[in-house]
Amino acid sequence: MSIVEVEHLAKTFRSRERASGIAESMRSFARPRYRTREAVKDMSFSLEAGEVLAFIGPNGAGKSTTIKMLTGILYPTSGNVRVLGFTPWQQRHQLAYQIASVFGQKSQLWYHLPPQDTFNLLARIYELDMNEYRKRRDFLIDVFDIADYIRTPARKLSLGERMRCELAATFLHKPRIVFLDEPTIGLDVIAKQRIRDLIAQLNVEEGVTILLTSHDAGDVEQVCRRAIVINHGEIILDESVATLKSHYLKAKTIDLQLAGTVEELLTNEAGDQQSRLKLQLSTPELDREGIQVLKAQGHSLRLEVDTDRCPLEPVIASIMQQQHILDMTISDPPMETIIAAIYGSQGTVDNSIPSPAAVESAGLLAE
Amino acid sequence: MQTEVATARSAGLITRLKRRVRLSTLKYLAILHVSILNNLAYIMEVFFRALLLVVLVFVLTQLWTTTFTLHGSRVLKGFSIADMIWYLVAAEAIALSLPPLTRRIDQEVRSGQLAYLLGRPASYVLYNYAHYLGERLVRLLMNILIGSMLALVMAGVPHFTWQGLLAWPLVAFIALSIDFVLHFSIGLLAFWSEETQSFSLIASRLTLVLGGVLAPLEIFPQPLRSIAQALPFSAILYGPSRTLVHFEAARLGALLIQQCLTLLIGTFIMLTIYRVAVRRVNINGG
Repeated sequence: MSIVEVEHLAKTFRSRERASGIAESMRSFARPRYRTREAVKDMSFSLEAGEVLAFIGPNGAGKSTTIKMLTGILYPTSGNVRVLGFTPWQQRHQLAYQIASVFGQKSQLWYHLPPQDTFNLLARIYELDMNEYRKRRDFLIDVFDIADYIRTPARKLSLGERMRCELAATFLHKPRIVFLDEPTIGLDVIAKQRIRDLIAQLNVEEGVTILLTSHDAGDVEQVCRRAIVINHGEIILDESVATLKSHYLKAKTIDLQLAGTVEELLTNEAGDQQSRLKLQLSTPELDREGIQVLKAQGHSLRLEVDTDRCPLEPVIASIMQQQHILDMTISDPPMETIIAAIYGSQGTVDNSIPSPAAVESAGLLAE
Repeated sequence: MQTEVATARSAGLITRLKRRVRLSTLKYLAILHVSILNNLAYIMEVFFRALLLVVLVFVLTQLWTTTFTLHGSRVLKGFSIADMIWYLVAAEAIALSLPPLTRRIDQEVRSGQLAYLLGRPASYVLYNYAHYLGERLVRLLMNILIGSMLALVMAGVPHFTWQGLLAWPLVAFIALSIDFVLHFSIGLLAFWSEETQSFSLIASRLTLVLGGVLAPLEIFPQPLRSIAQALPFSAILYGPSRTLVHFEAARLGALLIQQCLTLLIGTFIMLTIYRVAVRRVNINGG
């Protein structure tokens, strides 16, 4: 059963434009000029109960705007939305008891007070039975493992600790749908993993429906079962995460810091161009065509591995047999690259998306 | 039979209504409670801020002592120097307890933080009112504590009437509510204006000058006195302070009418601005 139904949703923002310089400032004051921007264009999709949907796209794609319309904070320019049978912007108050949202870049915790105080306040705001609330609070403190700092002022918590408290606060009133807007932004790898595990756990144990936006392909891979990719306010892909992974998330980037120099690992088969550098593998059966050397300098090596053609583990094992690895990072392709690949597969071109090569040369590859 | 069904229905309705009122009251009291706790977390900052009251009252007292001496009189428009000092303390205690409400609302609008508040089953206006009251009450109590000690030293024990002491909390509470309506409305202007601090500055300075924080309005020359008395600012500072220092039943009645009317009209304007503003929400950041 669909609990979220979105039909032809659109949102247009109008913002004032002003050129630089005193004369332009004066002109703008006398005759202001406005620019209209379509943040969301004709968007339609639905969400089933218990689903975990990823809403992904680059900055300014319209992800947050859509979430804010689904929670009733923003009024749409046109289109229809039903969330749990409510029209969000008309019945925001009634809907608020059934849903929850987390905005990764903003905090709902009172800055000078321990999270415990915010929890108590939320219990009153959501009109919870206080005995039920205490049981629920203790359960969430246990699940999110926040007992050690539930009485520490929020200002003294690390970002990861704070985000766990934010999430625990979100689940206090047993919401039926949780909107998570970039919940892992700014977190380190371990904290990100912890948050992903907790979200997945609560989805399974409580059947809560989750709509998650993120820039991070890792969030999508590990937490979600379905993904909607949007760009310029339009849906460009609505697929299962398994399909997305097999088509667009197959390339992993490995950054290595080696004890020796990279030359010992590489062969130059055709001249002295870096693009022709190949990795020497101690395991000959590995498909070397699936491994591309993106950067090789001194002790640093960056590889792109097509996991369809060449699994990661044996590649790393092969390197370890030849060199001592000091440090290693494995990352997903940046969102820009995924979107460029989607456009490529659909035979359309989006000029605003840099090509993977351009992204790499500009040093923008996500870490 | 029909009468019994109707009676049962209305009884059920009353029970639901009572429950709703109780839960709503608890909700906003909880916000007030958390806001007070949040301000008590940095009570030393509140204390040092209150010391400004000492400086202001001391300087104004010196000016009034000189004025009384030059005038060659012990009483000026019904106020002795001791009354004047207590009046100044009462007025300054309210004036200096104003928290940066406009800046907070402005920031919530610009940063998109209001997304959290709008997405909750609570009124954004009442949430902010309870938050503001918590901030203001902590500051006001600290100002009263420090101001009273100062006035006791400089003017001796006051001659307040018990009626004045009883009426003051009521009129001071309404005064704080009027101040909320004024500054919350200005904060909402962030939906249209790129800078609201200038409006806030004008409002707070008008409240100080025309509200009677430097002197009771009786001292003002005509027609400034009539103008100041007719404006809503006098209902915030002059009215409550005079009620405490010089209680008169007839004046209290007139003050309550002025305050209630000001609050009613101000609330109507504020809610109108809010209703228009909430449709213009354009959340920043992602």
